Amino acid sequence: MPLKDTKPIEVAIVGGGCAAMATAFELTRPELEGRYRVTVYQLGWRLGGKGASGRGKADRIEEHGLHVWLGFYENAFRLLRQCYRELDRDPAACPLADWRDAFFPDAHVGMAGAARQGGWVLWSSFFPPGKGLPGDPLTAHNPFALGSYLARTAALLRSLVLSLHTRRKFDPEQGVPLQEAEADLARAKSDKIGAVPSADRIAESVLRLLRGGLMTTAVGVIEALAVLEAILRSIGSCPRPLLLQFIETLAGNLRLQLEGWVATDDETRCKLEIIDLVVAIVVGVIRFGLLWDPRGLDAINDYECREWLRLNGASERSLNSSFVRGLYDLALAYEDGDPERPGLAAGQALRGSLRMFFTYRGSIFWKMRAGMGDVVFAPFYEVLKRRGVRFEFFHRLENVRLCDVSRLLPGERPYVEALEFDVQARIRGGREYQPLVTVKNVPCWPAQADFDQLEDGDGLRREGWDFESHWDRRHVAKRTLEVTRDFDFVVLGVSVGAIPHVCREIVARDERWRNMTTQVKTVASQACQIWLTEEMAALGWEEPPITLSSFVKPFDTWADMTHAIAEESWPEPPPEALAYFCNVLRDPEHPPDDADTDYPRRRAAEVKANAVRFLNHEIHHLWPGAVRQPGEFRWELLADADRTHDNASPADASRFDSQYWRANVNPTDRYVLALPGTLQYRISPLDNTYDNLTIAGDWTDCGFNEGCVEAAVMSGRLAAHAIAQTPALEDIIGYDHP
Amino acid sequence: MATITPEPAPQEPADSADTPRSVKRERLKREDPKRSGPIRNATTYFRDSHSWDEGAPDPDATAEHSESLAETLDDVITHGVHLGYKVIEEHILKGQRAARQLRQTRTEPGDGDGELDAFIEQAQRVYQDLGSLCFDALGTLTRSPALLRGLARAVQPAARADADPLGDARANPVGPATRVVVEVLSRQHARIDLRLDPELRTTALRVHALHAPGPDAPPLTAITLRFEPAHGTLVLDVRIPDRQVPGLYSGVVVDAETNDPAGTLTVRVAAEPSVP
Repeated sequence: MPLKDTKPIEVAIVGGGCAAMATAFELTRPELEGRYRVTVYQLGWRLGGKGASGRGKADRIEEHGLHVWLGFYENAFRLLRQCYRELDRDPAACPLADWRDAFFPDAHVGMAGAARQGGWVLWSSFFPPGKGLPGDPLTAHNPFALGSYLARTAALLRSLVLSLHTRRKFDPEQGVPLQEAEADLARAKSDKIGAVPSADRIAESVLRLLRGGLMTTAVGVIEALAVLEAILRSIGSCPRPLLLQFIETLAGNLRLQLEGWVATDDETRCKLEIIDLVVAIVVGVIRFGLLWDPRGLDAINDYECREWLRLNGASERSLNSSFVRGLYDLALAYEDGDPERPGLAAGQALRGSLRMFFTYRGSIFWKMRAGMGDVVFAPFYEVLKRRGVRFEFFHRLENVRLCDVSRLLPGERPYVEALEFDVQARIRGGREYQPLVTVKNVPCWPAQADFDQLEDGDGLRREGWDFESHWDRRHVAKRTLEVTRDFDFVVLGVSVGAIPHVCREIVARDERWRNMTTQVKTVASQACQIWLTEEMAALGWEEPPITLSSFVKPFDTWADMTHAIAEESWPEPPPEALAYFCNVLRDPEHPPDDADTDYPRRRAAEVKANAVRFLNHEIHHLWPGAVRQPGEFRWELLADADRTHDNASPADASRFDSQYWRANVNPTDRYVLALPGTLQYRISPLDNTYDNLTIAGDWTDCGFNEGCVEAAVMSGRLAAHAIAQTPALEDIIGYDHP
Repeated sequence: MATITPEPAPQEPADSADTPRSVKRERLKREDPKRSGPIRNATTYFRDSHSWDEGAPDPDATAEHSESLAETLDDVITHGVHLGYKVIEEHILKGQRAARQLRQTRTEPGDGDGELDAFIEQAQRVYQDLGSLCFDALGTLTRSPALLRGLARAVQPAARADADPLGDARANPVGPATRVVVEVLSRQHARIDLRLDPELRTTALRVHALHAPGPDAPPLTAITLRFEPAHGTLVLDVRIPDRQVPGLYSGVVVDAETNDPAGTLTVRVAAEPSVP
């Protein structure tokens, strides 16, 4: 029977983040001929979940945190590219008409580490362009085999280390840049190393390095890995005992060599640390039999990543290196937000690192030209609207009600009988809420609800209703959706932090869900954005715009987002630079009570205090020109959207009030962690325990179990598959990754 | 697609008076998925990614893959030998320079001793590390029967071993037409998924214990995979202990002689028919 002749199946999607949008996008593909009719129920006024952004005063972009897409986000980029293609914006009318207008490559990754003689050493790594673009069709052989990764580990490590670029910037003792680093960087760039080099190139490189001075031995280690690469290329044919014997012999040789080294400078020290880590990974993969284990890298997920590396011979110095700390920082991998409790499941950490370094296409990082809401969620909203998806904003899910299990027939599975919502606001005249605003011809989300569209909007505004706060439970009505009447299937696309609050019945009766909510932990985060009246070079940062991590707490990650100023509407003269900072935010010893309505304000005040202290006491390590002296930030640098220079606010810390900061403490805003020993408690979107319910989010068992856009999109695609058997699991890229 | 069940719809609750009414209909259920987790095992060695293509799969891909296998193996040898020669050559050159420097040092006592010592020490280290590394690598390659067999296979795909204890199995390589008989002894519902490498050239296979992702579930060990030459079939025998923890158990199928990965086996053990 043709699909168009059947009554559509009603799908209720709760939540509007990446996973939920991916599910909606898959279920409403034109090829399905309207088989599924989707309604999205969204808290507050905007889509985006943890990726939501809004336009504030002067149309400033205000994000939940720092969002950078990685070059291996194949599923995410593929869907977004299809979305832009379908959107078919007119380039003459909209500056973000194509996905390439919306994203641009960022090849510079930075790390900060403590210098041997005090101060900070800042590292800038240039990652050469990867072949193709993320989301391109993949026609090559499947690269996701550990043997292939290991071979590339040996080969690509050389380019990574050669491209490491260090300067002792404004080190109190040294104060002079290392000139030799310039030569290394130039050589690395000219080499254009990105793929596995040819045999001739490696041999040539060995000869060149052997002719050097003392550095010969250090880089010779890397070149020795080329031989390892040759071995690893045949790994499928090499018996495991022989391979293990070889690897351990090699590791022993390499470590003997490393021990003979005295790191006389920070650059050499960093190189040695990375070599040490890579050797540990290669040894561990072979020693733990991961190449043959049916669980793939999941086999070591009960180990903490550092612990596993230590077991395989990594030194304490390497384990505490800026490289390792940077990986933890990027994953916000600190249990309860405590910097003293880093935690990352070894298998997933390795999977994430391998994907990040070896499978990126185009560029290792991709930055968004504008806010994530503008670049990602507005296009999805527009396309889905065209496809007939309905959006019900201002709906807060309160309860997922299960059927009466005593009425189930033998063998019948329980199911969701009703969805109970608080309606936070009604739309005037019963009309449909129009959520977008236009800024410089780009459809965007506002930073606040448009109260003018709401019934009694003035009253709600006056009373300060916060539609996104977990602690603001005010509502104007209740609404219940019932199975068979209002929906057939439910996609629960809320964050795992919200599950205990909205799935009380399921959690109470189902041990797996209970375990998931207790074991799959989340962490709060903090973010701030500052607009500056002087350009970065004037502040002392002479590198290209960068994304840098492993810096000092409370803001260990910084991204230069100066490019976004052009998308905002500042009075003349506009700011010269824009910086985003983020990090985890430590949880209180006791979780706040649901009645503690002041909790978000207190945490936001804490973030502000952190930011002020950070600018006064830490920022000079990055931008020495931003302080009069350490401890005294130049507050006049902050651009105030409300005031012109002639009418500037006081040049003291109170001027920070003109900037943007936030504490992501709402259960729906919390970032999901991949702690060791917990990933087996995640539940897959394919799980069919409740036969009209599926889940979607980066917290599910989705094949890439780490909080990120790609995991969310994979999960959303899996949720669509659970309902419609499409897309095919083989088409969810990386789902079957070892 | 979703299936329609004959179950009657529930009654409307009283607290939904503000919801627009639509016509009730029969409740739909999701179908059981064909699988509920990733395949992370060794079959990724063999798998090509045609399913990633947005267009039709490349019909020549299999042939290309075979060629690339041969090229890869060839590259390994060429690469290793070439590098070995280069390193050795460099060491010889360094040795010659050392000898020259040594002669000069003897004629000019005390001049450059430190540099020479450092050089000799460095040269020794390089010999020890890179030299032994290359020879170890080449030695490993040449000692590897599996690699040599792989090379022979790449050059002469139809090559077959002479009589051996696994003769029947070797004489009957698995192919698309090979029949597999599955025998399951279980009180719980179980779904079996056996995937074998399409390039497999033996039926002498062994199944390792199947493990669940969680550490608590005991593995499934009573599993055999044997070849019955009389019928030309593979017989998979799966015995699941009573009250086995429900879940997905997976393991690898290996070549019984070489232990090389040959495929995967997954068994999904269903929960008791009860409500959680």
